[in-house]
Amino acid sequence: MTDIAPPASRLTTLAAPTVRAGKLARIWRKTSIGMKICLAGFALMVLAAIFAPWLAPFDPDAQKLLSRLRPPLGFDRAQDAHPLGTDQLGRDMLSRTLYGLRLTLGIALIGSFISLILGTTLGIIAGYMRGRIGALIMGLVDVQIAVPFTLIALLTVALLGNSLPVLICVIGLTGWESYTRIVRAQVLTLSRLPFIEAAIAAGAPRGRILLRHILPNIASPLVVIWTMTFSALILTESSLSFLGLGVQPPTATLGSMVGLGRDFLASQPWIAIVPSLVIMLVSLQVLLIGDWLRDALDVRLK
Amino acid sequence: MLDYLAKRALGGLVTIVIVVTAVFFATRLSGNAVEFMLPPGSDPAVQAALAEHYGLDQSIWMQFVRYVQGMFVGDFGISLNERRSVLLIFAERLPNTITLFGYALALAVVIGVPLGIVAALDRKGPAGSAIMTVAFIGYATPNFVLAILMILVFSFQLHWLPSSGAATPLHFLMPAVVLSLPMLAEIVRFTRNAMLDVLAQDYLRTARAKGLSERVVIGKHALRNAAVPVVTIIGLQVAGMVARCVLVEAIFATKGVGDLIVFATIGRDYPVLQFGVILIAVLVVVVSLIVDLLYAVIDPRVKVAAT
Repeated sequence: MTDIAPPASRLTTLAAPTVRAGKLARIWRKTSIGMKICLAGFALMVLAAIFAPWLAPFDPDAQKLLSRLRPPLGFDRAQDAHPLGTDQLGRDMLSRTLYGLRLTLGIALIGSFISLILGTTLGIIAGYMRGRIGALIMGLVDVQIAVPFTLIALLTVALLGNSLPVLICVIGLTGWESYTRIVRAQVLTLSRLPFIEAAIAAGAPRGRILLRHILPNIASPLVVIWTMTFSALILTESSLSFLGLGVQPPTATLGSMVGLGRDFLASQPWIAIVPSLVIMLVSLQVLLIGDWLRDALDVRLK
Repeated sequence: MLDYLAKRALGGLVTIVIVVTAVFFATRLSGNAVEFMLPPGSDPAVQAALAEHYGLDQSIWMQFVRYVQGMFVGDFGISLNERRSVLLIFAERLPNTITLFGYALALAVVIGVPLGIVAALDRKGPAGSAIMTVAFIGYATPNFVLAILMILVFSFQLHWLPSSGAATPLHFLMPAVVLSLPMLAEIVRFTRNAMLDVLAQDYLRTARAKGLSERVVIGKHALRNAAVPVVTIIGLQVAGMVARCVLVEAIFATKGVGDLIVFATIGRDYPVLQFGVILIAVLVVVVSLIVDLLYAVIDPRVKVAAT
């Protein structure tokens, strides 16, 4: 009699992989051509960032004063060795852009994981342990929404100096509140559903309910918010670096390259334009992917 | 309602007190301002004299007490950098920021709300898609990238517009456009989503069934119900005025509050920085109160819920 119904957990582990693969294939079939191009383009960007040390023709910080301020290919005085031209110190723009992209994406990636973990943990706590702790967390969320983020970033950088770890932490503190809000709302709805009540009735411990029953069910919204925060983080990092509050020279990030290129805008516009276009392209791709994921995974964010 | 408002105002006051205290101690603990005011290796006697002149030699508690006392008589200290009253500096700078932000907000609302409505009504059509594409590009383009591209085209190529300064209304045109694009994108998106939610409601079908013209159905019944989220986002934008202006002012040298605060941050000009933060906190608190009042004006049900 006892072996008629296998434990619920075994059922889900058996069923999960096939369901997942089928869902992914269905999503892929429904994806438009334009979206596939966008995904491929973003994959290219990520690959270029990962393999920057092997792809870059020059050391990004190596100065070559004899070939300063060369324009990209196709313009007068261009050099074949520098397809995107060189900057005011003769540094190769292609190499700097690749390394800058690498650093920008890297910072945004680590920062977005910090805010994902922080925001989700707080959201689960706020949703699961209502009462005083929950109210405190939601109060923090309200404060975070009300206080302009640029200001927090400015203050932190001014107080702690602008090293890379500080920058990453500052960026990691952006956007956690959207996870917290949505995760809490989801947890509140989910914990009223029969399968959670059943798990509680079956004597499952709290940790197990959170990790095995609630977390898989909030995965889709998490993925969607993660993509959206990621593009916001790229912009935040670029803006801080542009103001000179991010990574310090000579290290290149896309934002600091635009900031330095600003002084040569009238005569050598490519120094600012090349990294500007890369920032725009990457953040647009990430935004479009986020929007596509939201539709594809059928997530309603409120 | 009054009860509720009083409670909110009290909460706002507490927020401001916390912000003032936190910022005061955070800035004092972060480093010695005298080091930023004098060249490195200067005479210790001069350093001590300067510290005494600005009261920086006293204990941090004493400094805090003096700062709070000064606040009540409208004395927010003297800028360590410019050696003049902080209030005076802000009074000089604030009009520029308000002008700039006013233009940008007007642009964003006047263009954004109608575009959002069109995008909702024509969800699958070419106009709707075109508007949402522009909104997406607005979201994805950082302020400084757009600013640089515009300076390049309109100042350096076409020579139509000045690239920096705040002398004439023409100087505000480019910064205002740059500032308004992300705000426009947000307003379009929120208006569209709010309208889509409302358009699916039964009472709109009823309104149409009563034989009301489409203009009344959309303009009155739908728009008024969609207004709450739109007012919220506009409120958040106004509350974030200074922060939003930082980059744009830094690029276009508008001489506003935003770049003042950035340079005060970099140069450890505590009094200026503190006043800037207090200003932002007051702005946030006041705007959220006004937005709450507006909710009640737009939607009478809010008034009932609040009391």
